[in-house]
Amino acid sequence: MRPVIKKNSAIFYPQGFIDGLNASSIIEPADIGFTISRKPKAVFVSLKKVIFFNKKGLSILLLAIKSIQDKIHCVIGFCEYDKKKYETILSMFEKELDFSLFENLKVLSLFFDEKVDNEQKILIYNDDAEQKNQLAIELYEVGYKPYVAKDTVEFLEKKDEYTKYGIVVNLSYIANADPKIDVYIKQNIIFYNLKNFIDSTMVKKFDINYHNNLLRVGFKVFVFDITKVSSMNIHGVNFLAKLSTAGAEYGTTFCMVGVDNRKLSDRLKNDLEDSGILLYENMEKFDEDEEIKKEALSGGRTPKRSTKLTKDIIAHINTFVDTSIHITQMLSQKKGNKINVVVDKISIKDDAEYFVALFGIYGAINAMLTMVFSKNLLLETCKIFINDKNSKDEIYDGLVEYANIVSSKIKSNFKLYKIDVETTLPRAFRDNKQVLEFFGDRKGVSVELDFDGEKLKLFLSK
Amino acid sequence: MIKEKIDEFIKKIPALPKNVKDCAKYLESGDLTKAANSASLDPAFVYYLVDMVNKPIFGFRNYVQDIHQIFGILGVERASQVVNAYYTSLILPKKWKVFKINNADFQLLQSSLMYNWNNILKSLDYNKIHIASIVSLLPASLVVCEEIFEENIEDVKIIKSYQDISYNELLYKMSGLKLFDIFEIICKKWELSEESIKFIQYLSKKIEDGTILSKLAKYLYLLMFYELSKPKFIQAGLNDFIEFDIEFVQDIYPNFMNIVEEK
Repeated sequence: MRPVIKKNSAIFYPQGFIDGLNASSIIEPADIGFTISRKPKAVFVSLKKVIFFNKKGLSILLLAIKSIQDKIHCVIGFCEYDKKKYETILSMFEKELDFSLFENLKVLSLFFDEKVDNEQKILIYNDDAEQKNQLAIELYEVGYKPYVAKDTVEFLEKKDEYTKYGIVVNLSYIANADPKIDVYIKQNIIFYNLKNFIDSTMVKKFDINYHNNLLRVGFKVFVFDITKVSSMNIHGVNFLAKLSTAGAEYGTTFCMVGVDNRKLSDRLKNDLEDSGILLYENMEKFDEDEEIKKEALSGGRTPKRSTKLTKDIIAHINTFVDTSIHITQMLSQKKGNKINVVVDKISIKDDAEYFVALFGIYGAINAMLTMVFSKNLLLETCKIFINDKNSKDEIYDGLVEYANIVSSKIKSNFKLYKIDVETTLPRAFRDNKQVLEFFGDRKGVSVELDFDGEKLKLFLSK
Repeated sequence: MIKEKIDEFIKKIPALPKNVKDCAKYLESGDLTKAANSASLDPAFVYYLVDMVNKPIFGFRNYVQDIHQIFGILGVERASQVVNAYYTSLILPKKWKVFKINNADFQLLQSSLMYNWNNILKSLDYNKIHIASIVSLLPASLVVCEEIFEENIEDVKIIKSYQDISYNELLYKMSGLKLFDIFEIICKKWELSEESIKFIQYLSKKIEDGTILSKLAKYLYLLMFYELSKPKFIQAGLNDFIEFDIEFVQDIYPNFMNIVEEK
């Protein structure tokens, strides 16, 4: 069974019964490979549609997700269960609880979503005092300000209020955090979450290919969060400094948050500053820097590298266009037609009725596909993802999911021709002016599509 | 477009052969001899029947091929189940693409469902023929799913990797119809009794009104997921063709387990 990939999590949804006989059929080797390729921060098995499980069954599932953890250092465990199931798991794995438990997706998303709402009301209580503190510390580190109930009485007093207006974290468990470099996006800023020691092993741990493609997609601000780093040596500093110097070509700013004298000597700090990295004591100080936030949201300078259309892009234009038409047709159940194809600059009406997303393609072909949706068509196409048509957040999330589907399909279509390409995370623009700034004078192939009167424009560029 | 695909599928469902229809009618009235007489007139049905009932799950000691003898051993309820199973065999795809099974696996699922359903009905002391026989029609909903999604299965798999959505929900979002709605249309086309249609509605709409039909629908719903949780069917991808609603079956779960685990 394939997991559902949502934002930074991969979740498997088995149904019915899980035992020693069927568990190995739930997550098969191909599913493990697929999950690893998507690099999620969290890999969980949901128990919401499971009526029966035993220890043997769960242990087999754990072995499967641990093999994913070994490769990509993600957090693993079970989620979406009731009190009875939670207590059953605790008693089953009493002394071997080396995985996490999150009672529902709201709680899970607190730990792994890139969006952190500081005002979110959160109530924490766990019978195990150590776990209670662990949960609170982790949430503080993410950026929340949870309320920790001191005992069961206080918890029960406040539970209803928080259930109604906030999030209750009660039946959850956090296994010891795993050292890893995770990456997330918040307000158009890329955060690299670094842990433990920063030394020569950074070269191996850091996915440079992925980083370069984030630069290509146009992210302007990158943050190395070293809050959880215990120390750093000259090799680690040199590596980060090189990233910063190389990013200058794209007009990118690199920042480092969580800097103190214990982790970094004055000399190393100077080296970092010389390479152009801005240093901040903590996340609060970084958050106060309005200039950086503005920079992150700006379109910024166009990269200096060549932005001219190349033959390989033109030769494969049909793959991009036909895939987009096909997926849009299937999801919207509207017939699509090509209306117009021109080579030109991108043009978008600065209008709330148009929604824009793009993703990069790299590997054998290097290109960027931008999709400009009319609102009605977007709502029709993404109806399986959008429950509240008035929620802008849901609409943008739906747009990103659509772009994910198109990018997956493009990859598999190129594979048919033995052409290996990868794609970046899609980027949705909340302000259409940013799109125009981002592309500047760059020319691309602009394809206008019509779906029963509704418009979708594709812009394929270098 | 999906709506056209549904219409096309319903249109191509063959009418039931006259002799098989007669056989079903005689079984309804409890006349096994006349039912066997009618069945004997349809060679394709005879071939199917002999092949099916000589599978180990039916527990026949010797190979049996005489239709009267087969009906005599099966009795009215089980004979009706086999007749319904034959109905579904008429719409089976030549090759399965959405689910990784073949028609022999499909028959295995049908037989296992029949076996456990009979144990459940026996334990609940319920023996109405329409309700007993519906179990072998139920897997036809898998055929519906197969036929509708086979053209776009690769795309559907991509969508399913970004959204926790069953084939059933996906179909509903795209066409306004659920798999069981189409299954109901097929059953009407096959002129199933009103009671059978009503029972399908109890099952598809998860109606809870305290009646015996409502209770039986819960048992059949859980039995379906019990069977689809077997390794072979999980590997085949059958397990998430519709979404499993735990709440609907929570109250009958302990008794269900007692019945199916006891056997």
